[in-house]
Amino acid sequence: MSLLDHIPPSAGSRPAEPPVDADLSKLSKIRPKDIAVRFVFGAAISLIAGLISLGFGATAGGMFLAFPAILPASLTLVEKKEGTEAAIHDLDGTILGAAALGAFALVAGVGLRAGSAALALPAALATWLGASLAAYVVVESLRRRFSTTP
Amino acid sequence: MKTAAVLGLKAANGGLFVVAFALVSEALKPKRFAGLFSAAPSVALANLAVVVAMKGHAEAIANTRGMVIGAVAFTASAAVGAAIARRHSVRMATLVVSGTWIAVAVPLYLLFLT
Repeated sequence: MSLLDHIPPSAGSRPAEPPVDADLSKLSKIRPKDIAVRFVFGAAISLIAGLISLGFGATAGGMFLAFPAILPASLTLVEKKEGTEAAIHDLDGTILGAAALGAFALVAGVGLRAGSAALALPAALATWLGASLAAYVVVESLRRRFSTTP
Repeated sequence: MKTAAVLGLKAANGGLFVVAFALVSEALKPKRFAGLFSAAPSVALANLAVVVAMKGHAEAIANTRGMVIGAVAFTASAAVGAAIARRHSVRMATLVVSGTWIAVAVPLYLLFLT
């Protein structure tokens, strides 16, 4: 059952995207090198954010917790394996996920002020997930109704 | 010594969280949906957990203030990247994304957080 199955496509709209699904068999095809690249980029941006926090303060360092460090490497890998269209679609989703990062930061900040990190960080993650999914459903339903190009 | 250990822990944790979210993204389809996880708060979760454990809530709260600006810049840079990928190439988009993030984040930081 797709996340978007409840949204009826309007007459004349283009065919819908495939339903949201998970294919765990794809995980076995990931090369160790691709995992290593992501680990290195993740470690590098964490180190940079830490160094900037030390040099310029925690607020400046915090900006880099939402730096698109992994995105260029990830897009290059997607384009190489699945083509240009897939990479562009990946970027479309990234826009929504990035916007939801703002909600993550707000909830984490408010939660940490109010109490325990053990509650604040999972609540912030749940907020990011909820905001991302809601934005995806809204954007996809609008795209189905109004878009004429893939 | 303690500073180096904290930085090392942040780096290792950041790398692991990024790999975990990348694996989730790899398994999902369609690509527009998987793309949500390209902007998952992996680095943020990894770093905030270490900061809270080692330095306390005040520094983590300051981190989250900066992160709001970072998220606005990330959204703008991904939107610019998507437009460039459509008009030119994905390769050019990958080059432009980081520069756009800096061009948006630094002025916003200077305007609102200094």
